[in-house]
Amino acid sequence: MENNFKSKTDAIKTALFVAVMAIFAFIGLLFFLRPTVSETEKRELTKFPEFTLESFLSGEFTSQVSLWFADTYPLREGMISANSSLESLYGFNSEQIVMGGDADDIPDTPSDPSDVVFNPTDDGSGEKVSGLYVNADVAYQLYSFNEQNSKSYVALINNFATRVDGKAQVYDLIAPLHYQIALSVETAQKYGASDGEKAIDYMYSLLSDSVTSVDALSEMRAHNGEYLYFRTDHHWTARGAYYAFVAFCEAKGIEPTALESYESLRFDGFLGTLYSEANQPAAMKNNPDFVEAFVPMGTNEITVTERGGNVVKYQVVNKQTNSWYPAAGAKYNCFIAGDNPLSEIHNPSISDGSSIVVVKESYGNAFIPFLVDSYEYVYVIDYRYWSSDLADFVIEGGIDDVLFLNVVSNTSTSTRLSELADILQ
Amino acid sequence: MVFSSLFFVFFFLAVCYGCYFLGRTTRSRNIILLVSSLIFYAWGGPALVFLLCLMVFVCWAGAILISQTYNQKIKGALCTITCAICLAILVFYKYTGFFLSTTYSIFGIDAAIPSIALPIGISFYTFQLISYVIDVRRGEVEAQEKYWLLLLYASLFHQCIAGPIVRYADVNFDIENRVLKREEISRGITRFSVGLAKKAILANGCGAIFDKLFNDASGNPLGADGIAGLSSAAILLGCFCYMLQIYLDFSAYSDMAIGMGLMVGFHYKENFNYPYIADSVTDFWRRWHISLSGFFRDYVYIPLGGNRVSIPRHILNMLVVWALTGFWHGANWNFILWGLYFFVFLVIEKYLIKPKKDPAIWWRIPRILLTMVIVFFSFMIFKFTDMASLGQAIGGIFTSNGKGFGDLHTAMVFKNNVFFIIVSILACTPIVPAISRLCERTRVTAKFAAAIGAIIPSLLLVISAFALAGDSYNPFLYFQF
Repeated sequence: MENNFKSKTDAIKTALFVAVMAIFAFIGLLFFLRPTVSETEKRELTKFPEFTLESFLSGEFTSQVSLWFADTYPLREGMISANSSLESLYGFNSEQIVMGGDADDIPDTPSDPSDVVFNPTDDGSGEKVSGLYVNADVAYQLYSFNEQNSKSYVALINNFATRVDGKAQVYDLIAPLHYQIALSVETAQKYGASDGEKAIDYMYSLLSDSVTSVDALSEMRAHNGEYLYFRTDHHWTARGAYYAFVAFCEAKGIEPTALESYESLRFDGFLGTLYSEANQPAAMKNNPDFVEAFVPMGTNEITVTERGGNVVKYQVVNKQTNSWYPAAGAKYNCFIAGDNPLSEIHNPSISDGSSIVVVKESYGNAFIPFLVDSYEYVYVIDYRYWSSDLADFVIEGGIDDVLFLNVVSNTSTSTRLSELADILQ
Repeated sequence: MVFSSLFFVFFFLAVCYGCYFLGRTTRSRNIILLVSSLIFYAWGGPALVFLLCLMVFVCWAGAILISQTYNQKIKGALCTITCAICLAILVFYKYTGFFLSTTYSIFGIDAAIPSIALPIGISFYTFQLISYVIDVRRGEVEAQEKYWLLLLYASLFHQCIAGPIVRYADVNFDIENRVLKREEISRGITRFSVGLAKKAILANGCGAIFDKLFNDASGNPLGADGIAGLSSAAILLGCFCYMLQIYLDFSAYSDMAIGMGLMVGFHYKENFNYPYIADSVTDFWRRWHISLSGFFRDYVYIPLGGNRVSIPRHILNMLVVWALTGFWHGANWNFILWGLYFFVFLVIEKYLIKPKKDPAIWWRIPRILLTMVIVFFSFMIFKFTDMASLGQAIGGIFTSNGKGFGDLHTAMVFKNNVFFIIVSILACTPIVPAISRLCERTRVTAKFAAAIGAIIPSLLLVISAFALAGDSYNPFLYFQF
């Protein structure tokens, strides 16, 4: 009888195992279900490699096939999320920290102007200037100050200002990171992050007189407690960007439109880049962000030159964000159709010929809609994808204002600096 | 191809074993196994299959010649030549760079060192083939007349690339006469899934903890300067997790090999026997990578005279064996140092302390702990291939770098993984077999245990698949967005 029971359980075990293997193997064969992009991770998945004799002989082809199989496995996203639920049982998991690069001390006294030259450093750690601190459902990107790169950033702006001197007014807005508003300096330093306010002040102190700095940080800090940053994404919210816009208006000497007077939209269920970087914590999944957007009054139309060169009309604030970008990770695309080399907004309700070009990375996206009602023409350049000479663009276009908008961590990132240098020098 | 990948488990293995069970005769099944093994091996670089086939050919021909000769001297010479060819190939691929760089640095020559790619698994299959040739020479097994069956032995994907170093004598019978038994298939399934989970969940998780502590912000390993910035607790926790990882990882591969073997009727010997409960260094090496120490015992140590020689000669024999054991692990000084480190402790145990076998439990526990401290430092030598990093890491444990004992990051990493680390430690002990033996004592608990045991392999397979799904994801890639 005992043996009988044993062979029965053996049979059940074998049958179960074979069934599970067969199911997973079968799903793996459903090539038409294989995804090509991961919305959660914001990247294109590995493509099936092209066969060449050379890649085959070196083993490159076969290793790419293995990677492709795993990377585009149909159930992958669900499996990863199941795995992270499992990993949440590994310990008391409410806090995690990923260390950033080594930070330099921020000088107390301004440097000699002759010292402010473009000479970015890439010592390997310079590429990853951001660490990460996760506390339950909030993730904060942490920034490490790099002195040489910060000076290089300022040198780029100063040199550019000389080139357009007397033709256009140059503004520089360095956006703070979430932790610089929400956490105390002591707390941030405990996690290895630099004092962001001191870093921004330091760079602003090196700007030449012809460049106007925009003190977004003070204005935002006055509204600390409002929903200024996403908890699951590395960007600021439109509300956060609005207070930076208020600071810009102050610097320029114009009156900002009150936030209440905009039509506001809300898109729920946003899980941004930090959600996957923090390994998809359940606390975030259970309490996702929402994207708040404010529709410009003069126009909501933007003409976008896409990376492929196509010129397409989109909405400045996409009112159909939920249907255009249904994925939980894609909702920040609500603003100005995401990152594109060059975009143009013409506000027909203003006819004074006023114009601004904003040179930005993705932090600029949530900011742009507020500018629409202050200028007849708003040009948006994403310097990571646009390649021409900016001074020519400004002078030939007779543009009044140039606004550089970067989040503080990018001022220490050598790849960003060299992209910026490509269009400025 | 690595065992711990979705592609291997849910494509290669599924297809290979699917075909295998369609095969009717042992011959057709052997053909299926051989073809899939060659594909498996070719996956890491197709050109290297030819090297494997060539080495098998040399040993196949050598062994046949040996078996057809009656003159002992010629037999010996043939055996020496065959083994020398195999060793020369191994040395060429594995150690050329090391020898050249050492020679160049001694004589101050400034020349480029050719980079020779190491064929996957060459250290393992060369030893398998050498053991086969010597066993034929000793008359312990008969020479295999069919080339393709010897190729099957050396290339069999279960053990070709990461061991265990299976002796031909142990599988000789299985290759031509194996039968499938339900009970063995079932045991193989359990063994395989346990191994897969050990690798995919525990070993990879321990590795991730080490990386969190010992990698810089870009995900690259810290150099000596970076290690100098770590607190004592960070180094201790990181290296402890590495010590867990190396056992869990390596024994997991052996578990999977043994399990996959059982599923198709091969019987491989155990390669690990809970080395982390060893109560002396001598005991540790009876439990760690048994197939490798067995190889060196039978083909180096005993031929040198073993311990039936004078004390100085015996110590010399041990020195040779342990220097070679270290060197086998990699072409670098730290591996030789690693072998010699064990040599020193083994000599001390053999001639100075002479620890008693099977001590009482109250005395055994401190002995296990002391042994594990010795093993802990041995794996630091193993891990850090450059001496500067090793020096910084060992110094840092004693806070010589001025970084103090603890830090916030390490505390957080520990807190976030405390249960995981406890489970990983338990997985290194025979607690599960002990519990299942306890269950066998009454009929009710035995039935209960059997029922649980029927579900566990499938459950582990699913959870492992979850863990492997994230492997292709590099969190630092998407930052361009």
